[in-house]
Amino acid sequence: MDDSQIIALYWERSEDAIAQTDQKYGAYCRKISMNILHNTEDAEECVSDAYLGVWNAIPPQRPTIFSAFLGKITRNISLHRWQKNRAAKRGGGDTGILLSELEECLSSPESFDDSFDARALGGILNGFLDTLTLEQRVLFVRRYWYADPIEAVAEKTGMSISKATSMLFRLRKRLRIYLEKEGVSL
Amino acid sequence: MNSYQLMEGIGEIDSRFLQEADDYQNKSTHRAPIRWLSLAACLAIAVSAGVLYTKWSGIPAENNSAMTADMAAPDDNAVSQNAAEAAPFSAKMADDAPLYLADGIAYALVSTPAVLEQNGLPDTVSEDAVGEVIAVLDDDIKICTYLPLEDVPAIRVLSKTDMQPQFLFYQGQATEYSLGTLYGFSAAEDIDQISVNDQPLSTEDIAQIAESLAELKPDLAFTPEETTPDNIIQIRLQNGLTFQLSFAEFGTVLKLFDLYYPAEDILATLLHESE
Repeated sequence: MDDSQIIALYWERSEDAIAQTDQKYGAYCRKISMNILHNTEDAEECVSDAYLGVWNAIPPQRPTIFSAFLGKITRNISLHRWQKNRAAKRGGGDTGILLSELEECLSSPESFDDSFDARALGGILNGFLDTLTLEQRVLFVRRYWYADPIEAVAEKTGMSISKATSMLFRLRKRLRIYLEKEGVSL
Repeated sequence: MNSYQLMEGIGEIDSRFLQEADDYQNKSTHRAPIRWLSLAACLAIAVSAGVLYTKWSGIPAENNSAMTADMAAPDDNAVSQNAAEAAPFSAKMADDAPLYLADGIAYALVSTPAVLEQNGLPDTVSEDAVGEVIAVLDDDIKICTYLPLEDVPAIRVLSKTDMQPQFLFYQGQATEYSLGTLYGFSAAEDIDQISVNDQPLSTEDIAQIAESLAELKPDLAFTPEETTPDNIIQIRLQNGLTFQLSFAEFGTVLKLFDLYYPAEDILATLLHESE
């Protein structure tokens, strides 16, 4: 079933919408969630919550890229679960490493910004990604959006692990400069 | 902003980037079969993710120090003007000296002041001279570029938490690099001096071979004979680095560690000049 048909099922409020979503995108969502949580049970719950989120969002929304829409919801829910688990000192996996890598883009990594607007930052990051080559973009997005392990990122991009590591290091430095130039409070 | 917030912001990037990253197929997915070349190459591939704690077995120790690397015995590495006493040429690596691998290149630590001085390097690597990470060997062990010679793969820095960064010198492999790329030279003006068996070449001779020398790439199909290389070419570069190649008198290849470089014309010139 193609995506427009699945979306149509949501609009019709057909419960088959979720079954079709799971059939087509279940593995995709579980991978995103597992990359963040490293816990099958938690990931399964997050994916179910994501389906519920999609059910509540469509209608009124009609996403143009359904996989990305679903992936974003899954990622957000999984990230929040990761934070909750971390506060409870339960699990964590490699997401802590991922966050420590991102700290290199910040001057005060511990500071919580009350006025933080994730969507506004997303817009600025779109501008940053547009300055990169395709290979660099894929590397960055696979690592920091999909939370893929370095080995998987290197394989996906056909690089050695050390080259991927090195390129990510350079990209983080570039991102920091870009964010500073854009006046983002770091 | 903290890193979690940045992670949330990344979650809001445009969907087109996600689709692009999902659909991406790298061009090298269909790679040519790996060419198995030598014991050393196999060894390097087998441990490409980590540190090779082993002897450099199978390669005579005297040929194992083409760069003026000290490895073990500082006293053996005093700078000398005499080839017969040129300790770096016969310096031996300690049996348990670790090799650090990055991008298919094996490196060894070098800390002897005389060797560092001979290579135009300071005694210690200052923190601000540590460049980009090119390999992460462990949580706290990284191989980085050395900023003043960032584009010279023959020299790197070992960066370890709670430890002063240390110089790493090329010790082998690097089959994809030309000699010039590896050591950072491309023309005669990049070369300070070339000596054959301790006899300096004239400026004209250097000009004649410099570019060809820089462009030399390893001949991966070459099978060495039992002949022991008995001539030493020492090359001192303007960037401070010094390295040496060896060849048997009537050979047609230059040897650098475990690699052989086809150099018939260059050797013909050198042998003619030394007659």
